Amino acid sequence: MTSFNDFIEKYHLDRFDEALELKSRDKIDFYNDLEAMLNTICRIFDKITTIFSLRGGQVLMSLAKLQGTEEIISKTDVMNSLNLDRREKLIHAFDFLLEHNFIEIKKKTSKFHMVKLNENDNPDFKLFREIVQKFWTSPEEEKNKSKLWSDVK
Amino acid sequence: MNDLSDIHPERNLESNHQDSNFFAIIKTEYLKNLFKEYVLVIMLIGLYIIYQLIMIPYEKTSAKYLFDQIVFWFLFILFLLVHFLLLSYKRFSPTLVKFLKRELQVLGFKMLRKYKTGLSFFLFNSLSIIFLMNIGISYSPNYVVTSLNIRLLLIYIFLSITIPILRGILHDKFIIKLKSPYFVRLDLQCKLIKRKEVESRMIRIFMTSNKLWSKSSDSGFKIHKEISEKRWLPRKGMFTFSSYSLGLYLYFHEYSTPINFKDHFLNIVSAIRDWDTAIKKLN
Repeated sequence: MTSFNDFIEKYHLDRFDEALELKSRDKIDFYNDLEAMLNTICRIFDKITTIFSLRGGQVLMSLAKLQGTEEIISKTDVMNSLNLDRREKLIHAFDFLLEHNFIEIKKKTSKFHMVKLNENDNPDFKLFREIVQKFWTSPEEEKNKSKLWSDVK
Repeated sequence: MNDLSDIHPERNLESNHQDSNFFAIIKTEYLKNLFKEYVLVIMLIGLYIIYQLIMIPYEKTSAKYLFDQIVFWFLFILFLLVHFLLLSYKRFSPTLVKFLKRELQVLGFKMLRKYKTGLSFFLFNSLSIIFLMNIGISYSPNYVVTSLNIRLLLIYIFLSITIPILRGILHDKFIIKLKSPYFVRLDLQCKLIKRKEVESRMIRIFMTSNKLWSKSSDSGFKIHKEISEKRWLPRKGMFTFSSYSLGLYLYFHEYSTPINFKDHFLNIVSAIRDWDTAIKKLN
């Protein structure tokens, strides 16, 4: 099980008019699916914590988040999402992630590079993307929330 | 904006080579300012000792003279000890301050000096001292009491002049105003002796919120605990010689190095925002 949404769908967890009844085989399946999902999360932890680039993990989080709202993501979008002031701060991270097949980059022009998570080579990224999109607040969102709050008298 | 245009634009903390440059510059500036601070304190000490030597009011053999000298030197050494410890612990670096200003500008916040009102504080103290001195001299019929009054007041003057100047001009205390009455205070530290730490960890930025609530309030304490846990905020801040360390009130604390400053700053701001929302709901 590498998808949180599939898990919810399979057991109708978002349908509150139905009671969740798990008996014998279903209960075992449910437990196995849950365990498989936790296993996937653990693999994601392992991948992210061993990325040898200061902002590599942050770039992945940012891409996962942006993919929920944007069709086309550029390197500048990632930079803004992480509240960074210069693209040079992400050069090492992008190079590293590309080299290790974590991301795909399409160079449209010399300056405009489209970036996305490489889910084909890394199926675990599907669950990663779902969790990030559902629960993570990007630094840019955090900044906007704080600005909005501090501007209200 | 102009103030920030001269900030080393090529500074890039991701590169190891530039990392070393950045920390070397900060280290040099800290040392330079440390030297200035010590010279200033030593000059003040010199002046005070000269004054003492010239203005001895008693016969050198009398018991009163000895007692007076003991009291004076005890207070004086205590003062020096506190100041030298304080000065050795905190140092100032314009490059680091500019770097932080720019990082905060990216987030849309402005960094201000904590002791900007130092001049008014200094004037108020000076006037009150003159007033007190006049009372001490005019109304005591006893010469010894008057003399002692003057000496204690001199120490008071000495402390009143040096503390605001040293803390206001030379020390690394800054605040970022968020929304009335909320602010975040920054305390900067630089460790000059490298031991086990990596270079980036030698510069430390301690963040403290304003006074939030009394610790005796159960509801406030519960909200504070929940937010601190949710945001992974450290329970205790750095030790300072201020009311912050008395433990009567609740504060949020956060700690960072220059590399992760923005993220950690946003974290403490978000914690304060959560607190404000929760308190409004409570009321």
